[in-house]
Formats: sequence, C-alpha cells, structure tokens
Amino acid sequence: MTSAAIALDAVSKHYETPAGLVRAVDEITLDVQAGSSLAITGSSGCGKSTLLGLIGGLEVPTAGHVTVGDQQISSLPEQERARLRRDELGFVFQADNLQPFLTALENIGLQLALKGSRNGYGRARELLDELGLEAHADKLPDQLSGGQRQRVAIARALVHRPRLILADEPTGSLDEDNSHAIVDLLLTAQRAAGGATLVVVTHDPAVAARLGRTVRLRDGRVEHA
Amino acid sequence: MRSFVWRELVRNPRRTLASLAGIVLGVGLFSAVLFFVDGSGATMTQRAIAPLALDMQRVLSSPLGGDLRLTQRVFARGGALRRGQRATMTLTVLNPSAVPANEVVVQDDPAPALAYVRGTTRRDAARLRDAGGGSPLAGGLAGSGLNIGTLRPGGKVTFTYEVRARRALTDVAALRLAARVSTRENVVPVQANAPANLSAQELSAQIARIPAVVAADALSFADLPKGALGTAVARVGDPVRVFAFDERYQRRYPSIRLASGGFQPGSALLSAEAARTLGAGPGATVQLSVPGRAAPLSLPVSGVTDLARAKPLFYSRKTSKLEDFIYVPDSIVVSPQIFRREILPAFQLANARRGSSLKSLPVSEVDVLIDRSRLHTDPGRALAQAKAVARSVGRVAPGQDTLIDNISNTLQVARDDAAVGRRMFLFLGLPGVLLAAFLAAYAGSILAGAQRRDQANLRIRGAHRGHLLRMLAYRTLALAGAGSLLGVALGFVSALAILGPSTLLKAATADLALSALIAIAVGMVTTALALYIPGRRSLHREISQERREIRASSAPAWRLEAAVFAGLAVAFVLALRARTFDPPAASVSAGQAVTLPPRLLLAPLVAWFAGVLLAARAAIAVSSRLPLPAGPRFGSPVWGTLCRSLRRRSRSLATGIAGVGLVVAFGTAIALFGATYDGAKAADSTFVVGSDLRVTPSVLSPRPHPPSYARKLEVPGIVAATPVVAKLENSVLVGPFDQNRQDLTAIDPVSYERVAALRDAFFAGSSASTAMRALQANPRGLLVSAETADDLSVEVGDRVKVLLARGTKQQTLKSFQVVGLFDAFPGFPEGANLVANLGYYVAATGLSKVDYFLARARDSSDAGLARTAAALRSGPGRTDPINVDSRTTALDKDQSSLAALNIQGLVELDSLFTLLMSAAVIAIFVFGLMLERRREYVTMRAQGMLGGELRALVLGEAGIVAMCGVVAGLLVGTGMAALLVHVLRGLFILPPGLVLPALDVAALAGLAAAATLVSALVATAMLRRLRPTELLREG
Repeated sequence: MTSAAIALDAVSKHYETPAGLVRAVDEITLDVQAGSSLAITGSSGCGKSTLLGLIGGLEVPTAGHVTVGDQQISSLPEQERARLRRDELGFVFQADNLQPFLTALENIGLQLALKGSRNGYGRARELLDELGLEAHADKLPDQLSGGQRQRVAIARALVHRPRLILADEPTGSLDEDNSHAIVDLLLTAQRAAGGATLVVVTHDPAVAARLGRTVRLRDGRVEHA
Repeated sequence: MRSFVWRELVRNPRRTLASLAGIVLGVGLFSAVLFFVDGSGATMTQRAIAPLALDMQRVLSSPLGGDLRLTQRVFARGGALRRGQRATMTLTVLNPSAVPANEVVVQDDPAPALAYVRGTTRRDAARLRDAGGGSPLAGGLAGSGLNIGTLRPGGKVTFTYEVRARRALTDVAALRLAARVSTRENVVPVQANAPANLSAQELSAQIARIPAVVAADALSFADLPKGALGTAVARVGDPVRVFAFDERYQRRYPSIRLASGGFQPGSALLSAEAARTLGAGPGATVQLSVPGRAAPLSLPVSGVTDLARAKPLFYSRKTSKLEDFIYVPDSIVVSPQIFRREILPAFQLANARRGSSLKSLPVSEVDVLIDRSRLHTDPGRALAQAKAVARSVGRVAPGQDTLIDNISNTLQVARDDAAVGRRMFLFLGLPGVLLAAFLAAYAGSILAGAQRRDQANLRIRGAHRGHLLRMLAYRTLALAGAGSLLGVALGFVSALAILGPSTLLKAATADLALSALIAIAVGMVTTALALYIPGRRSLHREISQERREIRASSAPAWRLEAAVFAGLAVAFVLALRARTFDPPAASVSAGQAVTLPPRLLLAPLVAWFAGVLLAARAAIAVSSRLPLPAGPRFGSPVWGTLCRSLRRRSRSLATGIAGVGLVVAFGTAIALFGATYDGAKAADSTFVVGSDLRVTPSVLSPRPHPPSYARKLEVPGIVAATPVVAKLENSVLVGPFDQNRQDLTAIDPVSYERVAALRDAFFAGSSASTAMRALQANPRGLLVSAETADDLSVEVGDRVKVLLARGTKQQTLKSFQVVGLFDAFPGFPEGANLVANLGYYVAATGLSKVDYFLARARDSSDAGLARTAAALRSGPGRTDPINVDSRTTALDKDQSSLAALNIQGLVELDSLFTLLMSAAVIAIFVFGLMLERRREYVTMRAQGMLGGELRALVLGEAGIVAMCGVVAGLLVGTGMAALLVHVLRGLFILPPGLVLPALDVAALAGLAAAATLVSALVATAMLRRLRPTELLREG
C-alpha cells in the first residue's frame, strides 16, 4: 500500500428513483492515510453508508475514482473487487449480519475459508478467546446476546488480518458499555494488525471523538467547517 | 386500506406473481378437468349408442296371430250390487282364425269382492260340475283352469256362472276381471277383453307416429330345416332362414348389403352363400319348402345380398342371449306381404295340426329407431329420455309382445360408466386443487416472512392487529379471486385445446358454467385458506423463521412421527392383504358397468400425500445427519456453507422437496397411468381381434379358403398368418358324466403361436408354448376352457368325445384327449370352450373351409396396421373380397365404454399442467430462497464470496431439492400409478401391466432440472442487482 490507503477522487453515486434523481454521494474527494482511523459522521440519509459501500467496492461510483491501496477499485470487475474484499477488507455492520445457520466459530471460519486459509480455525479460536467468547464458539447466533453477536461479527471482520477495516454504525444497536467495548476492540485490532486503516461510519459524536479524524457529510457532500 | 393493499400488490409484481402462479396453475388444472369431464360426458351418449344396431324391438309374443278372443262381462241390475246380492258372469271364447285352436284352456277366478256361487257354471247352457269345491274355471287349488279341447275355426264357447257380492259395490263395471285363455299354439295367456292383436305392420305404423321415433319397421323371420331351399337342380344342405323385410328396412340398416340386383315385388333376395350353393342369381327361380304347405313356394330371385355383417338380423331374440350373434349363411329375403300371405298361414296350419312339433316358430317384431340427435349429451338424461320413448312405444297396443329396450339398457351402462368416469376424472383433477393450495401456502409462507418488515413499519405508523388482519384478508381475497378467475380461464383454454371446440362446446352451457363456478369456488376457498393461515401466523411470529427452523426437532416428536408412519405402513400392508383396494368384481364382457367406490380412488390420493411427506421426512432425517467437512476447519466456502445450511435448515429443504415431490409424483403417476391405460386398451383390442389383424373372406367371394390360403396373405408387412375355424355351438363335448354344446375353435398350433396374442397367463398351470406344443404333438389333443372343464368334470389327461361340425352334413363324433386347460383365448372374448388341432379337424370332418385368418404385422403401430391392412386389400383382396379388421377398427363391445374415453387427452392436460407446476414450484422455491436469504448472500458477497461461488451455493441447494423431489416423486408416483391401475383393472378384459413411459418421465425430470438451473441463474443474476449497502444496514 502507498501512504494513502484510500483515495476518493470526485466520487459520485446517483440513483434514479420514481421520485427523481437521488445524489447519495456527490463529488467527494478524500484521502485517508494508511494506518489512520477516520470517522464519517452526518445526519441520516446524508450518504455515509453509501460512501462506505463505495470504499468497500460493494457499490460502483456513477462518476469519479476510488482507489484502495494501489488499486483503483472503481474500475475493477466485480470478481476482482470480491477478491480484494476477501483479502484486504473487513466489514462490520450495525446489524451483525452473522449467518444464522453457522456457529460463532464457523461464521469466523467462513472468512478464513474464503481467503483460502489452510490452518483451520486456529486464528478464529484465538480471536474468540481474546473476545471472551471461547465458551460460545459452538453456539448459533440466536443463542448469543446482541453484544456477543457484534463481537463475533468484529472477529469475523478481523480474522483474515485486513488492511482496511470498514465499520458501518458498529455500535448503533448497542448500549453505552457495549459501544465503548466495541470501539476499544476496533481500535485495538487496528493497532494489532500493524497499522490497518479504520473507517467508521457513526452518528455518535463520542465514537467519532475516539478516532483520529472526522469527516462530516451533508447531502452527499463533505461538509467543510 | 384496500388501495394500500392494491398498491402493494402492483408495486411488488414478483411477489404477486409468485403467489398467483401456483393458484392459477392449480385451479387451471382442476377447472380444465371439470371442463374435460363436461366435454367427454357430452360425447359419451353418442359413443355408447354408436355400436348399437337396434334401439328398441317389440317382439310379438304371438307371431302366428290367430289368437283366441275372450270377452268377460258381469251383469247386475242398475250396475250396482248390495252386499250378498247375486250377479251373472259371462265369458265368451271365440276363435276368429282360419285354423283350429288346440288345447284351449280358460282360467278365471272371481274378483276378490265377489264369491262364486257353487254349482252355477254352465257351458253353452249345459251345467258343469264344480272342481275341488269351487268354480271349474278356476281349476282347483292349482289354478290350472278348464281345458275345453279344440276350438274349430270360427267356433265360439260361452260360459256363465253366478257370483255373490261380498260387500256393497256401487259400480260393477269397475271390477277388475281377470279371466285368461291360452292354447297349445300360443301358451302366452290372452287376457279377457284385450284388444285384438295387431300385426307387425299395423303395430309399426302406430309406433312410427310417436314424435321421438324416427323409424319403426316390421321384420319377420322363420328358421326352416335343411333342404328347405332349392332350385330344380340343387338344394341347400344346411338350415335356412327366411327373412321378411322391405327395401326401406334394408336402406335403414346399411349392414344389409346388396351384392347384385334389388328388391322386386313378388321376388326374393338370396344370401350370397345360398346363391353360391344353388348357383342361382337374379332371374333364377327358387323353391322354398315351408311347414304346413303342401307345395313349395316358388319365388323368382331378384337379387343377391351379403348378410354376413347384418348383426340386427342375427342377434338372438331370446332374452337370455340377446348379445349372441348367430349367423345363418343360407338365407332368403322375401317381402312382408309374401311372408304374411304365404308363410305365416302355412306355419299356422302346421302348428295347429294335432301332434305337430315345430322346432321354431316365426318371429315377428317391430324394430324401432329413435331420434338419437334429440338425446341429451349426458347419458343419465339421455336414459330418462329413452325410457320415456320406450314407455310411449310400450303403450301402443300393449299386452301382445315383449319390448326389448336396447338403447335404455346401453344408456344405463353408459350412465353408470359416466359416473365412474367423473369420479376417475375428478381424482385426476383434485390434485390440482390440492397442489394449488400447497403452492399458495408455500408461496404465502415465504412471502409472509418477507412482509414482516412492512408490517412492522405499519405498526410503527399506528396500524393495530385488526388493521393488519383486514389487510391480509383483502390481499388473500384479491390473490385467490384473481388467481381462481385466471385459472378457470386457463383451464377452459387448455380443455379447448385438448378436446377441440367441436367436442367441448357440445357440452351444455349450463354444465360448463356450473363447472366454472365450482372451480372458482373451490379454488378460492382452498387457496384463500392456504394464503390466509400462514399470513395470520406470521403476524404472531416474534422470532425470525430462519432461527426457529434451525432448532432441531425434539426426539419424542420424531419418534411419534416415526410411529405414525410405521402404523400407516402396517395398516396399508394389511389393507392390501385384505384386498381392500381391489375393485368389486364386475365383468365388462357381460355388459356390466364398472363400479368404482370413491374409497378406491381415495387410496392413491392418500398414498400420494403420505408417500411424499414420508420422503420429505426422510430427506430431513438424512440431511440433518449430513457429514460436515472433516477436521477442525470450515472446508471449502461453497461445500462447507452448503453442508451446514442443508444440515441445519432441513425443514425448509423438506418443504421444497415436498413441493417438487408432490408435483413430480402426480406427473409420474399420470404418465404411467396414461401409458398403462393405452397399453391395456391396445392389449384388449388385440385380444379381441386375436392378433394385429383378422382377415375374413367375404361371403361374396366365390373361391374356397382352405388353411393354405394363409400363405397368400403373407404380403409385405405381414410376418405370418394363421387359419382359424371358429363358430358358436359348432360342437358337443361328451364328458364322463355329462355333455353340452360348445364353441370349438380349430387352429394350426405352430403358426397360431407365432401369430396370435397368446399369454402364458391364459393357460392355467401351464404356458402358451407348452399348450401349443401339446396340441401339435397330439393331433387328437384338446384344450378345454377351465370353466367348461369344471362344468363337465373334465380334467387334463381325460379321454373325451367331441361331436365335430355339429349341425352340418359332416358332423362326426371323435375321441380326444384333454391336453390342457385355458382361462382365456385370444380372438374369442365371448368364450371359446374347446380348441382343437386344425389338421385333425379337417381330416375328421372333411371340411377345409376356414372362417378367418389371423395375421401378425411387422409394424404394430396404428399407422403400420393401417398400411398393412391396405396392402392386404390391394393385394389378395383385390381379386378375392376380404374383410380386414384390425386392433384399431375392431368393434370392441366387450370393453367398458369407460375404456373408450379420451383418457389420453386428460393425460396430456394433466401432463401439461404438471410440467408447468413443477417449473413453478422450483421457481417459487428458488426465488423464495433468494427473498428469505438475500441478506445472507449479500453478507457473503461483502465478505468476498465470488459470484460463481454464490451461484454454486444457490444452485446446489435448489439442485438438491429438485433432485430429491424428483426421486421421491418418481418413487411415489410409480406406487400411486400401480395402485390406480390396480383399482381400475375392472375396466379391461386382460389384467393391465404397469407401463413405464421412459420418455415422458425423463422429460419431467429434465424439466425439473432445467427449471432449477434457469431459476438459480436468474436468481443469482437478480442478486447482483440488489443494493448491498441498504440490505446490510437492515436490522
């Protein structure tokens, strides 16, 4: 990776809807340094999640370029973007989005399997131990509490040692204690990963304050103070 | 609220279509079958009566006429009687004919209201002694009446006696007077005061005036002994039948064919056989000897007629043998006038002679054709119409004849067959409704899950449970209503396409409208319930479906299910052993309708559902024990994920398998049933014909047809031909204790085995080839029907005597040894009793004339048979007239009219809907899967799962469902078809064997596979179009 882990160059994402054109993201230009942490804040519907989706290669911009590391992912085919996600990216969502038919360990193990790991569940078990979930490894998601599920989701996002961690409202559905713990976890993981880049979408100022830098969006654009 | 529901349906076209698809197809199938039943029923009347030659026959009980007249009067002053008052009874017997009446018996008992006054009976004023303390006319306790001997032509006898009133009678004329008179010549008693007998001509004229009667024609015939017909130089050596009918009758029944010449007043037609024997043709003169006539009747010949196929003339008039066709080759046709003027009086005279014993008396009848076009298309209603006409016909000059109502008898069988057909068709349509309900419930349960989020939003906006329930009711009504209407439209179009407008539109509009209403009502009720119940349940659901379904079912529940299934299996086996599913024994050969209790049709339905549910349950059991990738690792992303999903979500898998299984099982059962039904029909027809083709030399042929003629029939397309001698009652079997007339068939065993449709099952405790070898090895061997052997206490190995060629000059008594028994013999469904070696038969009788030849065709398809028959007609038949019957053209009166139903049309209809439904159920499963699991798939995409891997995942799950469903469906469908064929075996002469139409079944399985592949590909393509960031944010 170069010094800029993420580079957005006049990136736009527009949707055609029956009500007219929606400019979810409108000509955003932004650089995020490798190993840094960034909070993206803004009111509901300002385009935060869409921006995160563009960075993660889940969405393709209508205009502009998205570069992650040294790869301009906005011009990559879906196949390549998927390979990038499985190798370099880790996603955490507001809803845990765990696979309901997989145990906690298997949910994490799937990410390893996708990366082609041949070491079995080794690191997955380590992470569960670190997160205090060793006793819950073989439980299905509906047998875990909300906080436990979110910790499993974070373990899933970190297990393959991604260079870029993208979190979309990771504390949105948690109480204050759990929120604090989750942000701690993310920051610890970022540091432990040897300088991974962390981008967190949040509307919680307390969470944003704990990250290195904050970008505020309004109507799909970066709001300059 | 209604507009909200409407917008929701319109804006979610995929959900709406998924819900509608199953309903439309299921109701479409059900309604199509109802319309099919209407259309088929509409042709059943015509189909049933088509082979019927004579609608009604009024056979005169006193064809010789000349019956005595008996009048009876009671004289009382003022026409009334006080209790105890006397009155005089007068009986007058008059012989109005020109011949004496012998053994005249007068029988009378006073009416119950009157008591005989002892010693008051007088005959022509002379006092008669009482008999047994009562009236001499009563004839004592036996009630045999008084025999007054012979009454000369024009003679009259008067009896009087006194009666006393047991109670007051206001009108003695109203008393029922019951005196009767009978004679040796006419043993059927004539009632007192009966109207004068009409002649057949007078009767036909009166019957013809009945509005629904198209024609009423007099037909008379009399059987004459050998030598009765001849010319100056030759005589017919066999019995002769003399017919009396006119040209109009001949035109009415086209099976009476004129070979040469025509009707001329005062002349006669000769049958082709008689003409050939006598060497006489138009212009010649023949002499006919009639009993009672001193000199033969000399008749000029005006034509030659072929009566060989004139069934109306030769069917037996004996009420116990109405179906028997007894052909008399040597016949002569005279005009009704000649018969009335010359032949009847001669018979009367002969019959009146003291000591005469005529073997058979003339038969006179009126053959009635009713207006068939007026008959209702439904056999039941047509039967009521025919019976009404029969009553009208019977009211014309009653009491002097027997009415044989062939058309009502036929329609009665057709009505019963139609009822069975309806039940059978409904069975084939009922699964449509059940599948519609299943598909609606299936789609409903999947969509209900998808709608939970919308419902949660509505609740946030203030909608309470009542609002949501009302919206669910509106949605259900809209979907079930629209689906049922569209289904009925689809059903009508499908039935129209299969049956054709000319057949379907023959059905009464009211019947079609009723079927449409039934289909809409049944479709709406079942699918509405199927949609509403899962929707209502989902409103109560707190925990997501997917989480709930992952929980393993408790062991006791599984044990309970296993116990229930085991119990059902044991009950089914016991029921089979107890022959619960056996149809009631009925013989279509005996003209009986097939009875089919609904419980028998219910059995395959129950087997269908139970079998598929059992298979689904087995799938759950197997998938929940699916081995996971070995060792402490996840395995490959696709296989590891798929295994765990199948293992832990086996219930949703089982629902999909049940859906596919139900459809495929139904389709398989229908395909097997259709193929078996067609196979059984073909086998029956072949059995009736004897082989692929039956060649009968025409009576017009001047050439002899010895056994060696078979070689001339071996034209291209014919594998082999074999000669057969077969006639009704042409032999007498003399057993050790008894003897009886039998139908003997003589065959050449070697060629017969190659040609005829023989089955090992026909030969009790033996095989076809063993029986034929035995007959070949021992020319004096005899095969005996098991029934005849039982009747005459004959066993294999017994030596018996057989009178061969009975009733001909060549009849001869020969010894035989019984070499085998048979239960059935091809070509003779009405029962050949004896089968002998043709070579020996020819040597013993000197008769080398063969009755017909059986031929095996190289190509036994319908088209192949038609081609081969044409080759026979244009080959040996060009110079020597022959009649060729084939499996397809033979009139098979032994089959139930049900067997003639357009079952193939119904099978095509069912197959079409099955194919569509199997595609629909797989599509609903796959798209339901997508709807239910799209967040899972999008999460996997975010985790870096490649498009191909996702496709493999979806395809894997859908493929396993399709494969398990198809396998379960094939197994259950085969069992269901076996049960159905078993239940319906009474429809056929030969027990049908299950036929597997490999192509049809492969097409069904192939379509299921193709539908799986296409659905999975389309579904994953749709997955790419989803907006992942939105989905992943959803809680």
